[in-house]
Amino acid sequence: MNTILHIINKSVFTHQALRQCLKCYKDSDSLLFVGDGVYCALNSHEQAAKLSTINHCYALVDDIDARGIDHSTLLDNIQLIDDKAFVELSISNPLSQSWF
Amino acid sequence: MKLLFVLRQSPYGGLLARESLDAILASSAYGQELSVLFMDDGIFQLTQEQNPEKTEQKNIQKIIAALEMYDVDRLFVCKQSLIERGLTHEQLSCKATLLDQEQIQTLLSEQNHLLSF
Repeated sequence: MNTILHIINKSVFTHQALRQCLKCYKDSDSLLFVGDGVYCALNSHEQAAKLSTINHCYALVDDIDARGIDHSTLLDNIQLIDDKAFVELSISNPLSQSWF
Repeated sequence: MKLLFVLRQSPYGGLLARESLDAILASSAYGQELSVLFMDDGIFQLTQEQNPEKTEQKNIQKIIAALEMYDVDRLFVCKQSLIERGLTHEQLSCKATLLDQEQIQTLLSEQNHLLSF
């Protein structure tokens, strides 16, 4: 069984991408928010409770900061990473699936 | 090599559905183990009686009918997506296996490569 890096680039407030991804996500997989997907890292949306239980959850810090998102408003389980770590994630997960 | 095409876009709203099917047909020439999973709005690619002529787009239903001729016969459909959209297995235009969430997770993780459309 290969683990999957799920990549989401759409906001949870306007798209179903996160909800649809979470149906396919399994425990050993990783979830990464990029671009507008970083809005999914906010602790205020209706998927937040479900998302907070996910172990390997990441967001690109450059995209968070570009949008002026206050780090204190993010879910605690989200790890902010840089591009180098993004590369490492795609190496350590044999498969990747983009949700858009 | 096991390749799974994950098709999540509705037909005719953009070019992705048509282009993903073209990619599948092109890939079939390389003798890999191809599978196709229709889920979320990708389900709508499988309706019957599609008549896009007046919108000047190529008929997706016809391209899907061609998959079998190209030996692309590992076709899967997300059961939950089907139910959400009020469609039944019988209404689909091709022979596809219905999968539940757990079976989809298994299918994804068994592949060597996933292509997201």
